[in-house]
Amino acid sequence: MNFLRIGTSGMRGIVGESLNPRIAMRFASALGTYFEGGVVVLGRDTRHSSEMLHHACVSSLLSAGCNVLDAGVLSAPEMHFTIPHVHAKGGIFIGAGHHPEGWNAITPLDKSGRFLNKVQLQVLLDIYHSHKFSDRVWDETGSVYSAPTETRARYIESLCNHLDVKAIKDAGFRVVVDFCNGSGFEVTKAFLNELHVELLAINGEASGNLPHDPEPRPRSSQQARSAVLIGKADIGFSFNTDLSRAAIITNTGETLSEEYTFPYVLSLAGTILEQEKCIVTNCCSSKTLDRVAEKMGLEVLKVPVGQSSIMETMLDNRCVMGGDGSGSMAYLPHNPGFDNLMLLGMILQGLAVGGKKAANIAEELPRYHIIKKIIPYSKTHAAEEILRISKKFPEAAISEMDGIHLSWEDGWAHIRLSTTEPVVRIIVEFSDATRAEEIIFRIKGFFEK
Amino acid sequence: MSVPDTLKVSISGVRGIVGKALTPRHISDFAAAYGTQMGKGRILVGRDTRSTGKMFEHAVVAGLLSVGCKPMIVGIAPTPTVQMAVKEYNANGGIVISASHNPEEWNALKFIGPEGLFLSEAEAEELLHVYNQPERVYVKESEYRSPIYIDGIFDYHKKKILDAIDVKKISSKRYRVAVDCCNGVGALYSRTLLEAMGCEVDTFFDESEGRFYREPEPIAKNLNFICNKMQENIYDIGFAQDPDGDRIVVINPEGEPIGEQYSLLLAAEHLLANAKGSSIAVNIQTSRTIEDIANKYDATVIYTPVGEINVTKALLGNHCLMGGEGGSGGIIWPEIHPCRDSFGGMALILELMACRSKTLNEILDEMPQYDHVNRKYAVSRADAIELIRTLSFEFEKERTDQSDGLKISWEDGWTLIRSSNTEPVLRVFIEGKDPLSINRIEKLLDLENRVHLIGI
Repeated sequence: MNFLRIGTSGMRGIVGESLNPRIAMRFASALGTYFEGGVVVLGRDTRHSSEMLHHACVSSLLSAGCNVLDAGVLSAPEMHFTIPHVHAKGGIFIGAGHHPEGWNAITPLDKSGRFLNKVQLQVLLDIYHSHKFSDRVWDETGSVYSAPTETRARYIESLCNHLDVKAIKDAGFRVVVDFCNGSGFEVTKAFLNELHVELLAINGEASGNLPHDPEPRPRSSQQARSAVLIGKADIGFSFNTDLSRAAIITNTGETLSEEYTFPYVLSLAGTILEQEKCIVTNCCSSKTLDRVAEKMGLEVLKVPVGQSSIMETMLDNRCVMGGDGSGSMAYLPHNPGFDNLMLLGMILQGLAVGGKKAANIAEELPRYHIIKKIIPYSKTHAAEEILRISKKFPEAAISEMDGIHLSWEDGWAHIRLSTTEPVVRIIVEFSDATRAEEIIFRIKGFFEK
Repeated sequence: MSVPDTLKVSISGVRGIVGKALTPRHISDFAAAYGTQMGKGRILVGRDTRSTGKMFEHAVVAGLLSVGCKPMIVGIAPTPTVQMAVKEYNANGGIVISASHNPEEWNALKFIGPEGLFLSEAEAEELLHVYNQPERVYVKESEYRSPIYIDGIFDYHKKKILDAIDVKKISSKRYRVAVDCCNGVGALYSRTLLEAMGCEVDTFFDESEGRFYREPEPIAKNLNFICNKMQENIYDIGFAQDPDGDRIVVINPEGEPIGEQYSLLLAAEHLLANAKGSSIAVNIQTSRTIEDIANKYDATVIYTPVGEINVTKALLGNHCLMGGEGGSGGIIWPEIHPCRDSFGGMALILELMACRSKTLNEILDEMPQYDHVNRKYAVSRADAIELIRTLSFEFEKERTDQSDGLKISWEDGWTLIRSSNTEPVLRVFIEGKDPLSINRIEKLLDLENRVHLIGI
C-alpha cells in the first residue's frame, strides 16, 4: 500500500512506492528553503536506498543555496551532537532506524540538533505545500564540504565527560552489541575502547543487509542472547540501525522487553539524577517506569508519543532525562536526542558503581504483564474512529492524549495510530496476565468487527 | 516575449537556465526516466566544468539509483570521452551534464545510448514519452545498487588517439601550440594529450573551477584573448575548444581565427588524401570547399541534417571514413569513436601539418577559399518556421534542400536558414565565392526587414 507520513520525525515511507526521489527532493527543497541557504549537516545510515536519498538531498540543498556538510554514514546520536558542534543551521538525517527492510526516512533537525517541534514543522510544511522553493541561479548555489573528522572524537569525549570513566574501566566489562548491520559499530567500538570495555560485536558490518527485524525486542535479540551466554558477557544490547533504540540482554541471557530499557537505565542513574525532580516519557510507557521513578522520588511527565514531544517537554521543564517504551533514552546535558551510547554508558557506570550483575538489576524491576499488538488499520477517519472504543469500556477512566488511554485500578490500555506506519498500536499492561488477555481480546474485537 | 524562455524539454533533452526554471527536481526526474528507458544497468555520468555540474550530478545519480541503475560517476570529462567509455565499461548508456557552448547560467543533459552515440530522434522521442508519464516505476529497497566513482576516464580516450596517429612524426616537428580551453574540460586534458605528441603547449582559460572567463562558443568574436597572445607569431597553430570538448576551432600563427568551417576541412584534407575513393558525411551547414576537397580525392560527400546524431547515423550507415559538422567546428573520426571530438581533431590537424611538412598557412593557401557570414535573429520557433516556409515558396525555382531548415544554393554561393534547436533564434549562414556574392544573397533574402516585420 502507498503510505507516506510527514511529521516531526520527518518524511517516512516505503522506498520506491511512497518514498521516491520526486517527493524526497520536494521535501529537501522545502528544507533548503526553510534553512535559508545556511550550512546544513547531512548524514545517513546504511540502508541501501539511503545513498539515493543522500544524493537527492545534496542536490536539493545546493540548489537552495545551502552549503552541505557531508557527515557520511553515522549514527543518529552523532547527528544530533554534530549540528550544534559545527554551528550549522540544521541538519538532515537519512535512515530508517527501527523500521523494517524496505522503509526509509528523511528527518530534519534544527540548529540545536533536535527533531523539529510542531511550530517549526508547520513552517516547513507551509513551504513544502506551497511548492515555492528557493532555487538559486548558477553562481549562488551551494557547495559540499566534508564534516570535520574530529566530531566523532568530540562526541565520545562528551559521553566520557558525563560518566565515571574510571569506575567503568576498573570493572573490566565484556559487552555484546548487535548492530543489525547499521551505522553503529565504528563509533561504539571507539567509545568502548575509551572505557576499556571488551566489545563482542555481532552484525557490525555497515552494509544495510538486515539480519533480523531492526526493532529492538526480545524476538530480535536472540543472536545477541546466544553471544552473551557463549561469550560470558556482563550484559548485551540489541541496537536498531541508527542507535536510537535499544533492548537489553542480561548476563544470564534474559532478553528484556524494550519497555524495560528506560526503567532499567533509570534505576541505575541514581547518582546522575541526584538534583533532579522529574523525568519525561510518553503516555504509553510501562507502570514499571512509574514505580522506579516513584522510588527515586522523581515525578514522571507524560507526553504524546514521539521524540520531538519528549525533547520539548524536557526543555520546558528543565528535565535532563527522557525516554520511552520503545527502548530510547536521551540525556540532555550530553545530547539533544535519543542516544544508545549514553544509555549504554550509564548502565555500565551503574553496574560498576553498584557492583551488581545485570540480571540482579532486571530482577529488582517491578514487572507487570504487558501485551503489545499491532493491527493493520488505514481508514480515512481512523483517528476519530479509534476514540469510539471508549464506549466499549464505560468502567475505565479515559484520556485522549495521542490516541486513547484507558485506565483501571489494576492496569491500563493505550490505543493509538502509528505516526510512521498504517497500523494501530495497542499496549495493555496489567498486574494480572488474565486481565491483560481479557482487555486485549475486547479491544481486538472492536477492530475486527 | 510572453513565454519565459528558460526551460526547454525536447527531443534534445532537458536544457534551461539554472534556478530560473531548471532545477535538480527536473534533472533527477529526467535521469530516472532515462534509466527506465535504458533498462537499469550501468550508466556513466560525466559533466563539464560548470559551477552547477556537481549539483546536477547528485540529482542524476539520485534519479538513476531510484530506478535500479548503477551510476558510474566519472566527474569532469569531455563529452566524447564519456561517449566512447560507454562500450569500454559495458554500460547501458551515459548522461553528460553540459549545456555545450551555452553560457554559464545554463545547464542541460545529453543522453548517450548503449552504442556510445547520442539518442536518435526516435529514441529521444521515446525518452520524452517516458518522462511525460505521470507515474514512474521505482525499484524497491532490496533492488538498490551502489554508484561507483571512476578515476582517469580520459586515459582510454588519449591512448586511442595516440595509437591512431603518427606520434613520432608529430613529435619530430616540436610544434608550439596554443590552446584556449574555455575554462572547460580541455583545461584538464588538452595539455596532457598535446605534450604526449611532443608539442610545446601554452594553455589559456585553463582554470576549471566552474567559471567561464570568456563567452563559451568558440567563434571569432570570443577568441580575442588567445589571438592577442598569438600575435608575436611564436606558435605554429592555435586551438580553441568549447566547455565540453566536442568542438574545435583553429587559429593561424598570426593569431587570426580561420573560422569554424576549416576544422573539418583540414581534417578531411588529411584523411581523404590518404584513402582515395572513400566517403564523408557532413551536415548541410558545411562549406562548399568540402566538395572541392572530395573531388580532388575521388570521395563522395553525403549531406545530413544538422545535429551530431544525424551525421553519425549517415556516417555509420554508409561506412564513411569520417564526418563532421562544418558550421560548428565538429570533426568526427570514427577510428577513435563516431562522435565529435576536439581532441582527436587537434591530433589530426597536427598530423596533417607533420605529414606534409608544411605550415598551416601553406596548407590553407592550397584550399579553395570562400567567404562566410553567420547571422542570428531573435525569432520564436513558431515564427521561424513561418518565415522559412515563406522563403521556400519564394525561392522554389532555385536549388533547395529542406532536410533541416532551408538551404538555397546558387552558382556563386549558398545559404542555410534554420531555427536553432537550443535557443529561440533564427540562424543564417551564407557562403559565397567573394564578399560581393554574399552581399547579393543577403539582399535577396532581405531577412533584416522580414524579421523586423514579424516584430510589428
